[in-house]
Amino acid sequence: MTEKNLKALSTLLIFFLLDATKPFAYSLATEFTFLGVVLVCLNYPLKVSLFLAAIFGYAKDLSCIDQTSFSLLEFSAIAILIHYFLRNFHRKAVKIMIFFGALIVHLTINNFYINKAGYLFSLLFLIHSSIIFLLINRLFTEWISNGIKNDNVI
Amino acid sequence: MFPFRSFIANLLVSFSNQRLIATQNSSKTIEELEKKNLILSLALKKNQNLAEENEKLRKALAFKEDKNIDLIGVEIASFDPSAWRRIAVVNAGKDKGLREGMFAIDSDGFLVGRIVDVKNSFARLMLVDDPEFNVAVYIGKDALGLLSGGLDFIKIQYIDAGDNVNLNDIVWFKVPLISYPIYIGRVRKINENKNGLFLDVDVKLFNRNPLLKKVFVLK
Repeated sequence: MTEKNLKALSTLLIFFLLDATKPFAYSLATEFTFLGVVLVCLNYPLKVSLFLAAIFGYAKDLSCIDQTSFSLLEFSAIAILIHYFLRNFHRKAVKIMIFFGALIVHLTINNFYINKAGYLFSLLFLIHSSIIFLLINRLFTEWISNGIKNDNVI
Repeated sequence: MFPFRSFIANLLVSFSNQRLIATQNSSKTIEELEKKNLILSLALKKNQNLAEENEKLRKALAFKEDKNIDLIGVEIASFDPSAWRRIAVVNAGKDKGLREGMFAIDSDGFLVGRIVDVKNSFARLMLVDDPEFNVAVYIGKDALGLLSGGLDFIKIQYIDAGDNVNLNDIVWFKVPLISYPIYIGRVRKINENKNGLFLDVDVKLFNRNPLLKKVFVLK
């Protein structure tokens, strides 16, 4: 496993632990694991991102009270769809559009899944997730590119 | 389908237990004092209720003889990773006598949630604002309704339109066999149902501490 892949794995692991321990309890309306999966899909090849999406989707299903494979299927489908769009669209803002698309899909299917749409919660989820994604996207891409630069030096 | 289903929860619970070992003795004393304090405050609330009203409710619900209240102090070890659910994993299970359907309160005696899944060393606690949470409650003195959790608002449905419900009325309920009133919140908004037969009420919870770590389960 390369250093870049290890970075993705450890990032997703930290995000999963953040979701499970919720240090801010329910004051933050976001899902770090989902944001991490989107982040990895936008920066890694299909094979790696599909593998990680499936692993963390499965881990999320294991920790949830509902005994379904909902997240496993959702995260894997999102990984495939993101790569499909990345391959076919090459505009500058495509990554932002993909992120918001994935966020809206995630919101919609979860609201349908619990059968109770929370409009205020959905709005909060959009705002919190967008702000956190902007922050982690910047930090994560810098971290990856630093690693690549160091590799080149060596 | 999920061979490792309990593994992650057990892992998180054991982390939480390791953290607790260092301060176990002092925390036990604190827990005992907290329990005593909580029992006293619940008793005080009980005495504040009118005797006549208690008698009426006891008759209406066919209450059996009062049981002595007993509490189990538990720590919240982790949460359901989904943002759409409000479920906490607590570090006690069958080993400490927890059973499905038991209610949990915070250190002020306000309702936190209900135990919905019990394993050997941990249990899942469904919080009041979970979309699937439901419990029959009283509003004010004698109105009855069904409280349902939700991500935006906590609502009480099926209140008879003729019942006397006012803003800021206290929402409370009674655990079967224990005659202590458990307070949940206050009436925040009253709407008339579309069909005009019932009232829909929004509730503001008393327990609004999002960083809650310790809860007490009513035995």
